[in-house]
Amino acid sequence: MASHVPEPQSGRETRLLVLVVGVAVVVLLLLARWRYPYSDMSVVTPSSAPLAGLAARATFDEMSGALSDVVGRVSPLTVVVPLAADSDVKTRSREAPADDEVGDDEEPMPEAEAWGLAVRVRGDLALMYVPPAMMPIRDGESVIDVVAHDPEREIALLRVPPAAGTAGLDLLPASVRTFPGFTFAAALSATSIGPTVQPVFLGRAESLVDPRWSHGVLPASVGSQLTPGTVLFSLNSRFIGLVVGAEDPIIVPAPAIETLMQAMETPGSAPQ
Amino acid sequence: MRQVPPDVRRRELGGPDPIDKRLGGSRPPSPLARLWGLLRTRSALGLAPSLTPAVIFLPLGFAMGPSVLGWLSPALLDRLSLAVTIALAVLGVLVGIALGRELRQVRQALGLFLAASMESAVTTLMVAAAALFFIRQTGMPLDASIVGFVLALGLCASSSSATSADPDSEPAAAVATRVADLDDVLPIALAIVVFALLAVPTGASVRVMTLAPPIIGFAVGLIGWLLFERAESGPERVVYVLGTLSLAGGAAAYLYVSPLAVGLVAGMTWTLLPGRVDRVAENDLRRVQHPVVVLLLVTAGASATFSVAAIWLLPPYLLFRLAGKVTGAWLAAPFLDVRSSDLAAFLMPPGVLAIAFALNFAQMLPTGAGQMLLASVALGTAAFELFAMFVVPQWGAGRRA
Repeated sequence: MASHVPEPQSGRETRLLVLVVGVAVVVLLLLARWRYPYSDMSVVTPSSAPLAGLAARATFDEMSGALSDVVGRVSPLTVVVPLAADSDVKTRSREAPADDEVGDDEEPMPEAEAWGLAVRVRGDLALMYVPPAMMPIRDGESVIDVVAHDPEREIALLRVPPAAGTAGLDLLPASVRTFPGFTFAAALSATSIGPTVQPVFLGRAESLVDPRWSHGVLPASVGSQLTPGTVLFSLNSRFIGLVVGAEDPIIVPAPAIETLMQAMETPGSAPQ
Repeated sequence: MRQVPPDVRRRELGGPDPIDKRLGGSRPPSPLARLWGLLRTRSALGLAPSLTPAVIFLPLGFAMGPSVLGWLSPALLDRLSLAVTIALAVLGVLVGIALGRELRQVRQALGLFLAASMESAVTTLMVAAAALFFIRQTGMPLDASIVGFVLALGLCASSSSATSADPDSEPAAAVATRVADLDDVLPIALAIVVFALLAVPTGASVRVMTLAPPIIGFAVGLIGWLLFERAESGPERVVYVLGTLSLAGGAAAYLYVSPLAVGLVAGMTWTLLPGRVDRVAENDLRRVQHPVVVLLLVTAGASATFSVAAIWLLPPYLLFRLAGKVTGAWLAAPFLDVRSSDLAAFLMPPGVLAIAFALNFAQMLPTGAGQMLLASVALGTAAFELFAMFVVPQWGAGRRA
């Protein structure tokens, strides 16, 4: 036991140690020269939580309650943003007088032609899907700045007014990291009077490799009624992803949004 | 250090009998004859069979699982997950009772505990570092926090069972058995942190997930302490014990915390509190210990999906678990009065606890990463058990010849 002076190791023991560790390191370095053959992870049937088998099955009333609960919790994380035709916005901007001649209140803005839903990702920064040829415009008193716009991915990073309960918010690390197949999710979309929600069942789908995105994406056909601009949350209010793509809608998962967000915050870099 | 007769260890591990050896040289036996002799010799000596449960029940579970025969369907495996959680709590209690008894003799056990913890920490770090390097270098996709994942893999690798020898066969085996008992404590404690890392990374959740296992474990321990010794009959006491363990497993599952850690704290509480509640619980748990082990191994075998990713991750796991055990034993052996090669050899079998860790983390990780971890650890466990059975008996033969 430990009540005596430690016995020194013999040379044989040390040689054995050096041999085993050396072989392990060399083999690891050799194996690490290969690239992993598959770049995307296929979706597999998820396992349920340990207590799920004992839980009562949800009825429609319970589903209504769950969705109301989700909307109540994630509404502060979303901002309804009016959208107008890009050409209209530029025309109005050119026609608008300089700031020293006319105050901000009198600056003419085009009428909203559509509504988009931005999701707060960190502090006062929000991401939203912006359809081609559309641009976010200011809504009455609230000031919304476009920090960055990525037309290729149809995503804009906005600086939005703070809201109660969003101080110190960091949405993406707490998001769902993998596709929650075979489950209901809350699909949030924008209306002129605020966000609304629909239950969407997400089935099985194979992930797609899209060079524009750093992680595998999923076709929006995995769930019904998933239109571009829809923001997906799990029923326990964790962010799943954003539906983008006017032509071929896809669900961009949270990890890909996170990578894009970092790239947009760092001008000159592109997501890998 | 007491010199051990050269044939003792070989006999205990199933090698040629010393009397046979002295009768004269013979042709080397065929592999099949060697396996048969291995089993027969150990049975004749009244020792545990050399084929450890992992070698038998992991392949059996795989054969019964959805990938082969389909007797254990995915829906059934889902329903078994709660039973697995309770089984993990039972294993945690057994480790906690063993630790509590060592802690009663703090002075004698402290050095052993520190050496065992050092050995498991070294193995954990080496496997985690190798896996981190390998995953990053090869561009392997991972749908989980990479730090949490590699730490989970390292913790699975750190487990040892010392099942390749009878504890009474020689002093090194006795020491290795105690080290194997105690080297699971640090990984179970670290698993609390890894669970928090893998969970929703908000401050509140990390606090809850770090504090919940000891609090629940202590509460379960107190409940058991109040109930067990006051039971009026044996069956009533068994109901109390199983109910208390169900509470431990259920609470851990509900809060997504480690049932192993909850069980560990409950087991320690029962041992350290006055009375004989630890003996009561241990006696009752002994009845369910073997079914629990079988349940864990069969479930792990059936749940494992041997994907390309799992196979890809296997070489660094095998190589660096071996290197970690040898390094850990080399660092710990001078404090334990054993040869480091002996200690490393006896600690080579991962045992059931490696599978328990893997099942535990697989419940918490995203599906893809969880299945990859479980499959890699299951394959690695079976490989190391076979390694311990066939290679370890030869490990010291050259030195002793």
